[in-house]
Amino acid sequence: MSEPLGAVPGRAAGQEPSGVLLRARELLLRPGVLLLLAWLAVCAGFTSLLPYFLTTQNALTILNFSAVTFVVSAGFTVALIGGGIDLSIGSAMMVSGVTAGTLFLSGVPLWIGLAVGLLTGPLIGFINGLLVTRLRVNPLIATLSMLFVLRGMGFFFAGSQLRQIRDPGFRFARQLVFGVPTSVYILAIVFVLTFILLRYTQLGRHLKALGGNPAAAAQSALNVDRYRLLLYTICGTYAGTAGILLASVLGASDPNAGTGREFAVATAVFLGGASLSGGRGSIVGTLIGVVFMTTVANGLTQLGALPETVLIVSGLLLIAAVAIDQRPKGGYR
Amino acid sequence: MTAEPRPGSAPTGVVGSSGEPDVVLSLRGISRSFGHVRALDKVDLDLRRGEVLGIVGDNGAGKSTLMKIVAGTVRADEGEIFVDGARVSIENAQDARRLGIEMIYQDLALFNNLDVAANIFIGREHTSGSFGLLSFMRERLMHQEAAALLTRLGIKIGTTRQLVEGLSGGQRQMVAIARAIAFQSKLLIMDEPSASLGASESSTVLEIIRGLHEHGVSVILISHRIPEVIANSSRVMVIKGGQNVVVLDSAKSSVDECVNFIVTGRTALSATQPGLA
Repeated sequence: MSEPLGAVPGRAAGQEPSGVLLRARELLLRPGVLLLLAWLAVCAGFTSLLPYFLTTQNALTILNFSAVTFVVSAGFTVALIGGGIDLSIGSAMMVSGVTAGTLFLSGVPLWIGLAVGLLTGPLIGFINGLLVTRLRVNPLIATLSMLFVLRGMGFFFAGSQLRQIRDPGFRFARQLVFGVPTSVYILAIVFVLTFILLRYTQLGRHLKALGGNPAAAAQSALNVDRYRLLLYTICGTYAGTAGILLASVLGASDPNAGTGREFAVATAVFLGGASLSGGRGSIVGTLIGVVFMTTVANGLTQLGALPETVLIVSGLLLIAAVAIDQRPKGGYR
Repeated sequence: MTAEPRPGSAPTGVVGSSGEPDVVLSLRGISRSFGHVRALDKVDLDLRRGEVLGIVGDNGAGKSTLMKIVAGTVRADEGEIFVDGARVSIENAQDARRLGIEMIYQDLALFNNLDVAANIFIGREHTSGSFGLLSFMRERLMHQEAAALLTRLGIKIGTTRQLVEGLSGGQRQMVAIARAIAFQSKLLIMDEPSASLGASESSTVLEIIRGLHEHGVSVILISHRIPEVIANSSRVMVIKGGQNVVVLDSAKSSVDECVNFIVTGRTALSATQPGLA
């Protein structure tokens, strides 16, 4: 070869001298790194203002409050990475929780109720997948419709009333194991499994490929529709799990559970570096995004801020996250 | 006159030519219409083992349609395809791939969000365990093999861990080539490989294409740049209006001569005669 390709102007040619700086910049732009720095800054701020902020107890509180949102956000992250989107997650959470709660209240054994409730998640996801792949409905519209249909069905079958469930087994998420709430363990398990799925398995690789370039995925002989169907089923599974967890945390069957959860999820996931255009995002980023949002709410509440203030801050953070996502990346897109 | 007679001027009579050991791909009497437009009209083609065959023609001459038929993304209305002398049917891209035929499209079909090795192995990852899609990928093995492949092809890319979005146009082209021939393909179809490249990069890419015969890969090169095609192929096939015009020996042909055939399709008129006879 006459000349290394790297010698093309504007490309690798300029990289040799400033390699370290570029490496640092690349590191900074990696999903989650900027956010991690921002989170540390926020923590430092709250610590200086609040005497009890930096305590093990408060850290566990933040993780405990993060658990439900994180589990459903993990599914949302997988969906976005694969180039999909699922707005029905909040309603799907309610369906699984209400199903488990109603079954339990009608005398079905606890574990069967929980299992059936859990299974409504993948079922709903599968239906979403069929709408997208078979009926060719735009995913945004298909899952938005499902948001309303599922919510309506919840009210139809379970009434509009919240029903308390005081059974300690149903409230497993509140139990402490070695002083740590069960929901925090579930958060950790979901994090590890999702990390492995996305990082090490062939499925994770193919989902990234599908989200990154669907046309190329089809040309690479990947069965695009099959992966999309799988993608929504996986996302629904996460939503179902989160729904059971939420019902357990609430200790109730609540047809209003999960309402508006899409927004908290979207904020955290976009903060964590996932992109609406697909193929991008990481579970690490999403974890930091969720914890970041919970930390902000936790600190602001301790400072005596009104819930309205927390909402405003969350909204502004969502805009910031999407604006960062939309900045030109200088790529070939 | 350097022009050879059109191969197989009486198509049904010379199918035996596909039985010759040095012909990788033979097309006989390939036709395809889109509505009232006859995009391809009884086109023949012979690709010899290890050669670079250029296909040139004006816009709409049928080059791309012909190649999409070989790659399995378009189906022929009539005609026969022979691979290594055996008659085959290519219904879709998977069929073509199974026969060792790969096509690199102009958009390259790369994944910007994945690294070089992931792009090369996409859909054919090395895995351990038998959990289907949940099997773990053998990353290190794939990176080793990808690096070895790139070295073998003379492709210089810093590390196989680099994301494809950070590569130059030429490097991207080469990753696409490496992916296409990584799995024992014997026939590579390239649609305008140099269209978006600068002079220095396209010469490097073409050098790699010329070197592919060492790896037992035959190449069909579609391009608008006539000088480039003549310089980098052993033979050039000219088509016009969906019909064979002539097959030129690149070493003995000039750009003017080639352009003349493309524009006038001079022998195309006579070429239709034997078909009637």
